[in-house]
Amino acid sequence: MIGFAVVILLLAAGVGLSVRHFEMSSSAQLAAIRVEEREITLAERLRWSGANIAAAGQGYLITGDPDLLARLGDAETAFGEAILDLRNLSLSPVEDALVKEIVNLSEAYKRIAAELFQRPRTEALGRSVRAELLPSQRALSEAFDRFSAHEEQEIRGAYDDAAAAQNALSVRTYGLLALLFIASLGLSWYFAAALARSVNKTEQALELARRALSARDEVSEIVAHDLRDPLAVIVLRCSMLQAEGDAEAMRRQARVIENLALRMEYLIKTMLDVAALEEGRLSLAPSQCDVGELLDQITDMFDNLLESKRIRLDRRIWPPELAIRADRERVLQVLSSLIANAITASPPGGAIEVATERHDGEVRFAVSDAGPEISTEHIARMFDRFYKHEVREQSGTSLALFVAKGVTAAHGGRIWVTSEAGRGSTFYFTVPAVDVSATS
Amino acid sequence: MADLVIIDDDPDNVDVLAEIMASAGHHVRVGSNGEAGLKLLHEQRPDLVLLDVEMPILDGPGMASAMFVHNLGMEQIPVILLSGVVSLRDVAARVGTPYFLSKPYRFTQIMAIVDRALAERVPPRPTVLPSKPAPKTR
Repeated sequence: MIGFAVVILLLAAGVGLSVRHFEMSSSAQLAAIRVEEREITLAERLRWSGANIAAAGQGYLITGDPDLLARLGDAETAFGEAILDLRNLSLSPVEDALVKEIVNLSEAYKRIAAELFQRPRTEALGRSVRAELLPSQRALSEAFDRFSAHEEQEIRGAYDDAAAAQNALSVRTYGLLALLFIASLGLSWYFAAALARSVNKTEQALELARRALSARDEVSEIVAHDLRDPLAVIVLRCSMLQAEGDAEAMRRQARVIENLALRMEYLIKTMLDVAALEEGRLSLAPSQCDVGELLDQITDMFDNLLESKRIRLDRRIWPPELAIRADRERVLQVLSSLIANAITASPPGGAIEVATERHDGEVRFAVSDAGPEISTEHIARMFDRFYKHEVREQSGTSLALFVAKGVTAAHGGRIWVTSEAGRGSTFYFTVPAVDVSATS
Repeated sequence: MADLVIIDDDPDNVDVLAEIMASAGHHVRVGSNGEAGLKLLHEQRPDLVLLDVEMPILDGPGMASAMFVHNLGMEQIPVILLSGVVSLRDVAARVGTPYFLSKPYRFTQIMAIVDRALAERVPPRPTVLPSKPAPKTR
């Protein structure tokens, strides 16, 4: 990204520099051409004033007109100035030689002219101006021609150089412009892609939010449904209670209503646990717990239910002196969720086994039942929060499994399940062990 | 007096309904899911089925569809849907039964709807049949 920006900046700078370079070299070429032109002008002026000298001198000699003499003087002055100007120019060695030749010939020419025209007119009249002055003038003229030819060649060369330089610069500038264009395209592409990515991310976030919302609605429905079941029974039991005359029957109705209220309280507690887990604020009060005592307690809790369903609960602890470091109430919660689950799955007259074993630094609890097999796809999602509708058994079961998973994880343990056709299912969870011999 | 079948996965619900119906003089059989319900229907055709909606293995609408599809005379048995689901009216429309009661309901309401169903005996006519059998799971 930054690389792109740097490339574009460099290219833009390159284009700017070459345009500037182009301007500078053009100005330099123009200046050089102007100098050459000035040199040609000077040479032409020299040629012109030389011709003027000859013409005015010759006229004066023939007519004796003093005006022509004055014009001769002017021409000589102009001639001298032109020679001086030509000499003052900075010139190449070739030009220098050519100018020197012109200057020498001019001096000779001036001398011949002065000799001719500054003598008394009568004396000069007899002499042939044509014969004496013309050869020198012709030589001078030829020197002028050579100089002009050289200068013209120089100018042509300068023009050619300028054209070549211009071409090279054009190629370079267009090349740079093309690169600039490509780099800009790349940059646009990059930004478009980045934009698309962020749009994508936003859409994903929206989708997640939508899913979270619908999940919440789903949970609300589950809660409403699960609370209505016991509530329905309470309402009916109350009606029956009002019609009851027998004290023992009334006590029985009241006991059932109490149990239902406790069931609702359990559901509400589970819901609150789910909320706490989701907000990551499930708190634990760990202490050392004896596994045997834990199992005694849980057996007491389920005694009535087991009896009514004619289900046997077997216990196995190895080694016998086994202790864990955990939140007692929370571990009881996980165990009771798994046992309730096993009772629901078990056929009447079946058996459930709770086995605890020490493995490395952990105690592994295993709750086995002889119920129907759980399919692989269900096993994978058994502990998901919203896996209720598909594997619904009894109120709050899957939410309870979700809470069990959260509680186990909070203890640094794991929870999982295995299932086999004809052999039932086993739910496992682990919690950190306490070294009994070391602490006692 | 009538022969009733009560299908609900909530044992407390089954107990109280069975008690009420027995005290009203009906003969009652109970099951905890749709599959158990179908078995009961095969054993002996009842006069009325009291059916929960959400159950494991085979739910209420699934059982109602199966009664209609299997067509062993079961499609003539009236069904009362009893549930705490939010959209019970829609579920009843799918099952095609005029008899449904949202939990929690009152004693008088359940008595009234049972009497009405036994008097009218309008059988369910499912509008939506299940595309695949309900998963056999726990």
